[in-house]
Amino acid sequence: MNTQNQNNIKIAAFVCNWCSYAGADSAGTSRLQYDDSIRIIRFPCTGRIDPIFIIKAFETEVDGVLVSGCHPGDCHYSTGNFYARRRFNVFRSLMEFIGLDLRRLHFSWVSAAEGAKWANVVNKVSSEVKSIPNGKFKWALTYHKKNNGQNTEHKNKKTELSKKIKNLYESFIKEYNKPFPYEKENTLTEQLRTLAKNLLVNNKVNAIIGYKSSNFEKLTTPVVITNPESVNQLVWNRYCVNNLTSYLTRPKIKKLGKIGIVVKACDSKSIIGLIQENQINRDDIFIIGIQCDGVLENEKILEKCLSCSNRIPVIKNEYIYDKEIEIKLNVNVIDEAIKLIENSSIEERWNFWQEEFSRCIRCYACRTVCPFCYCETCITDKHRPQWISPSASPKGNFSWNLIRAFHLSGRCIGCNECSRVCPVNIHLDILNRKIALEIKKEFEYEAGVSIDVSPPLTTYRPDDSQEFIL
Amino acid sequence: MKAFIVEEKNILNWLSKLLQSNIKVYVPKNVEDYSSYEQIEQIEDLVLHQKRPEFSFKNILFPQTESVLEYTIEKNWVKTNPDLNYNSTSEEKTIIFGAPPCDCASIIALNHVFLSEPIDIFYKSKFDNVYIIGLACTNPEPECFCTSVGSSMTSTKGSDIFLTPLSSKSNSGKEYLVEVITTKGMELLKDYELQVQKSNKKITKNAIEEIKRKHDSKYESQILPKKDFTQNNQTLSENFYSKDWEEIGITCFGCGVCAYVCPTCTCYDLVDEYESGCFRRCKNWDSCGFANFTLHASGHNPRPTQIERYRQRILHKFTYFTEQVGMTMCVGCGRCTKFCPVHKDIYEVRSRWI
Repeated sequence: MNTQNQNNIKIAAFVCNWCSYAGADSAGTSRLQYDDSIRIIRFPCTGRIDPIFIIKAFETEVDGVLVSGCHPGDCHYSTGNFYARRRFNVFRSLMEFIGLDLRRLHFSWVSAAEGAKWANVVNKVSSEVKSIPNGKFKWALTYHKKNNGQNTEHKNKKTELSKKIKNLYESFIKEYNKPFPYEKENTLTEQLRTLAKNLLVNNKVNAIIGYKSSNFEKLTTPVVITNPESVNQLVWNRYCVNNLTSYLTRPKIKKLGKIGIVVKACDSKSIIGLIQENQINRDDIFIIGIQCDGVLENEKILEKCLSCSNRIPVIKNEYIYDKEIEIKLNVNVIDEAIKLIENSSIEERWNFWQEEFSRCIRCYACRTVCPFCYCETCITDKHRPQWISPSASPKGNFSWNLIRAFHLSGRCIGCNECSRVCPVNIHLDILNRKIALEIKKEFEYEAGVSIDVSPPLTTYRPDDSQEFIL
Repeated sequence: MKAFIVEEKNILNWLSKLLQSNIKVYVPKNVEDYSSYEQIEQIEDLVLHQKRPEFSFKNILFPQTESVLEYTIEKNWVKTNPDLNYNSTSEEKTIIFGAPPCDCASIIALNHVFLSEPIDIFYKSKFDNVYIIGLACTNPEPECFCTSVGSSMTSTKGSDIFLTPLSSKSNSGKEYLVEVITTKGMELLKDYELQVQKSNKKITKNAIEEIKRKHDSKYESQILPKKDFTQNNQTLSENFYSKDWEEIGITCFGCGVCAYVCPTCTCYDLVDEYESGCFRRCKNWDSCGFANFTLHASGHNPRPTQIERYRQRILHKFTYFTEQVGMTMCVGCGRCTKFCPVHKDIYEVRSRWI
């Protein structure tokens, strides 16, 4: 190895045991000279490399990461690298979106025989990392003695970009926040109650999850009804914002047996996802779709309703509606925001997301309202090893929000409940939507459309794009 | 203790004097995406009579993340960081100005937890240097119910100095009734003199009460109707096994928002973290709503579902704490109701058992 390492940079290389590790070995036995900034970590397969390892590496102050494995078709386990290729494709665009300089993140295929290629790849990666101005990389680190461990570098420091995005959201809401022509709330509520009563009385379902009115006029709260006599608690109106499908995976609800659930068109998509992922049984739920012309919170229409293109639930047993719906705004403020971010410089993006995540208080409201966050133990609650710092510090907040977004890739159906409930209004909707768009572009997949198609990251095609791989 | 009438401009002058003498001043402030208590550098940044901030000042005294121990490992030996030596002199003097009475009252609950034996030195070192200047509430939110927990828009509980705006009739600008509640508040005024109205007669107790009653009655109708949550705690305990808890708890998702925005929730967790060659033991906020909160090492969880967890939260606020301290742990700010993802209403839940 070449011992000249002027910039004193460190690059972590995650390599698969069978190809790239052997390739590095072969480079050694051939006495090839290459850059010494590389630190090799051996894995059974690239399929085993979770993006959190990459994040963790950056947290421990490496300047660049290289992931290397077998050429497609050569995987020791047949298909591990195919899955990895899809995963890294998405992860890479996510990292680019949040403002990581992609010269720090590389992927390559190096076989056991390609010692020379390994040396070339390492030299290329390290020269790219070295070509980044300002030398050492500063990840979102916490340590700051004076401020009780809190690094407040980004706290409340609004970037130009966040002001632009705020204005964008405000202008959209202002323009489209006209009350929807929705006089039929009472009729729909009546129909819903009759149906619910029938279902309960005839023992078609054991419980119904719906909305009931709250103490406050413009709010509703979820309710689980088991007694046919209490169906009159059920209501349906424009304040029914919650996505009730998150309850379907709760053990306490599952114990009730067959469940009837009231869903809006957007919520119905998550039922498709949950069935795809074998979390619920289609026969155990009775889906009551209901006509929705957009929902309001704090007298403002939600962003997702502006872009709602299909107002009829995609999966349902019954559909309660008044008449065919004509309203189709189809303006997507989130997509506009994504364009704004993509057109900004790396620094702007980085600072924007750092500021966003600096506000996170780690209440995990985003996780609990999400229909797809049904893991019994969340990665952030695992502490042996501690993957994500549980402190509400820049480091922990950054990994938490990135990993949650990544875990939802190809699964998030865009109900935007996470950003609605966030007490500090972090733009999680933008992050999730960005990944959804990327998945659509790369794998022609849209979440929550069809039960029969496999989710994109659980499958692969031999000819998936791999332009980003060295 | 002592009361006098002061013009608004004199209060502002006094405050800018404090700012100039390098005292940290926190005021309720909107920071675009949310509102909380933020430090201000100049008096111009102060906006009086704001809505109750979305986050209380709890995090100034009890930060969400605080390192309580730092150590490095050198030659197989643990070496602690001696800089982390907490005592009252290590913290700077801090003023929390313009806090609504609900937030001020939370101090009593926080003190009960952190200042009774064993004393939490991290809290104490901050509390000894914090002066709380309350301001009568003029902007209640629809979720508020402070009158039901034995407080009011002009309650002085927990403040060192308390200001009540007078319904102005003079042309010389707004006036405030300034009450000095504690010796701490007294000392602050001794160190930094507040210019009092010249023609100031001694204000009688009755006059103060009259001012407050007037103020309270003006805003009482804007909040939830008064009920007595301070009494009859027995009814809650008696209904420990009530079927209602199932109905209430089953829709609770189990996030930590209610506890994190609550001015009186004091639970924390200790975790070790590593960064840049240094280990830190952090004291982080925790919530009884989390499944991990009561999880035993054996895997047993005495509060297995959200039903028990939500019940615990309500009973802690209204029964267990009241039995020990004689006041509810809830100050009636309504933040948990406002932020709950499923709009669970603590007022409605408590009202079921009066």
